[in-house]
Amino acid sequence: MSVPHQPAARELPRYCLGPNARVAISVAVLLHLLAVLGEPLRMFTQGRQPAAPDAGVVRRTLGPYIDFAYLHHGYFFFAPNPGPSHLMDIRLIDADGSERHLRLPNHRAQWPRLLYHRHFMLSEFLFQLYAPPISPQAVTEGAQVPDDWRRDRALFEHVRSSMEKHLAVRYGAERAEIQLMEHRLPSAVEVFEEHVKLDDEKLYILLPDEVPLAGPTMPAPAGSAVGPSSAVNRTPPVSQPTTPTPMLPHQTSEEVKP
Amino acid sequence: MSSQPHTDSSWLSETLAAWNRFWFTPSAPHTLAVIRIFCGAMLVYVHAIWLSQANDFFGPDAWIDATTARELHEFDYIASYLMFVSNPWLISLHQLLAMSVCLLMAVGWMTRWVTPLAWFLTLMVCHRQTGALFGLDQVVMMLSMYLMLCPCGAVYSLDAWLAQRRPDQRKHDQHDMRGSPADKSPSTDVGQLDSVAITISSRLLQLHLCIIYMFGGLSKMRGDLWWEGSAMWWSIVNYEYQSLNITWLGLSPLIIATITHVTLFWETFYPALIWSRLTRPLTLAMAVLVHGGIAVALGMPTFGLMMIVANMVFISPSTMQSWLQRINIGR
Repeated sequence: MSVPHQPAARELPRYCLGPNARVAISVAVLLHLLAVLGEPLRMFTQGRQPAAPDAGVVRRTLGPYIDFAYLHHGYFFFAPNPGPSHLMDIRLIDADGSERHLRLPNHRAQWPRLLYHRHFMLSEFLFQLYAPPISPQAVTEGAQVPDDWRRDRALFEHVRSSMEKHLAVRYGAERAEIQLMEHRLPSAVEVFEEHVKLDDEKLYILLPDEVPLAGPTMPAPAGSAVGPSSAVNRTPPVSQPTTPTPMLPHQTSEEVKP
Repeated sequence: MSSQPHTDSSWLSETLAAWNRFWFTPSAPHTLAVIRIFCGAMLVYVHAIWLSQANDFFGPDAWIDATTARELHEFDYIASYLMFVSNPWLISLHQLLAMSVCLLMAVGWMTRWVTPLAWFLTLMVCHRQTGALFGLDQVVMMLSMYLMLCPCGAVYSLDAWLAQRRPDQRKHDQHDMRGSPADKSPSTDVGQLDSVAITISSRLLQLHLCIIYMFGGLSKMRGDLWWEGSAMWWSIVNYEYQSLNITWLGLSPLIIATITHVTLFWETFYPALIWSRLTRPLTLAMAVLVHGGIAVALGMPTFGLMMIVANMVFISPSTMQSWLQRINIGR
């Protein structure tokens, strides 16, 4: 006579932990998973406004754990859209006034790939902090935006200054100046019909950095060229904010190896 | 809608039973042991790269110098003693120590001690290196964090080899959260070394992966290029990422759009598809294709490899053991 199979849920599995231990561990794993879930949720719900109230509560409550355990990530890989890369266009000024130029990251100078990628991320990090110039009128109007801009700009300049100091020492120059550069992505039409190479100089755009004397400088989106109907032929949106500035003739991508 | 106490009680007890089964049924360490080997080896490489240019990244004139690093984290909870150290010799010693510890983690010697230490030393470096980090660091930190919670050195390790040479010591070496009575025989088969800690670590890693993919997919869902089907094109023509020129794929917008949309939907629905036995093999195969593609074509072989390794957590210990036995490992 066969014994009817008992549903799995009614079987008594052999647990080596007592109920109190199981409750304690359950609470711990739930809090941990809340921390893992809470951070991308906070980033996701954070636009121009602070994060959604529920995400904010998680952040305020579990912030120390999230930060210290290195869980403060949004996991937004190639999202919301794959965008252009950002590089550092570097001017090295020697004691005798002569200049050298280099562009980082450089996969020929930085090897293996992980070392190259570290430099690439530093360049992208500086771009994340990038606070482009705003008009003098906006600065004097005393609005909230200039206050935010001043704070962001100070942080950007502080980090850039650290990087410039590093570069001056690294390459034995009197001083170094960094200007951010955007590498625009070419459309399929450009690649297949106009035979534009991926590292064509015309795809590199210097981002503005000098505060102008007058006039609004908050940039308009670049990328007005529109190709055929296929999506891959369209010029992609470039990173905001940018004001395309053609490369100056003296600027080259000369490779300076450490 | 009627509510019957008996049904509610039954639902509650079944849910609790399911929760207990999910988290507290002991399982074997074979899968996490393999992940430990890959993670430890990758950590050795990561620290070796930091060591190769220690002065550039940690020295007094580092890219982000120590003062700037401290100021960047003035208002958060990220801290590292490396924000106060910039002596090149001390930094080099730190990195050599980290490499040694991670190597021991990979080979599995004193695994219960060296794995938390490897996590901590790497964490300190991550906190110091704001700005130079990327997905690879997130993945290896995630893996080492969960590996340090469990006896992942119970098999495929020096610890296991030494225990087999000293069967009388075996009982004392095994973890105190075992689900089965200590076995005096030197067997390392699935079932002999089951542990609740292994289950908890595996489950946390599985759920963490699901959260990563879910938000990776949802964030892509916000992008028009992913919906238009052109995101793959804009990814493969990124010169700074590119390590293999596959722009010829752009000759067929159909192929580009198909790859884009398959990636979008696979990533978004990974948290659901990975749990079903029917769809799990396909979901894992997609993970190998996507992350293999990133490794080969988008210039991130380390990140791509470690994401594939992380996905291995969905392979059962018995399957992992049988695969390795086929190539004469762990017999």
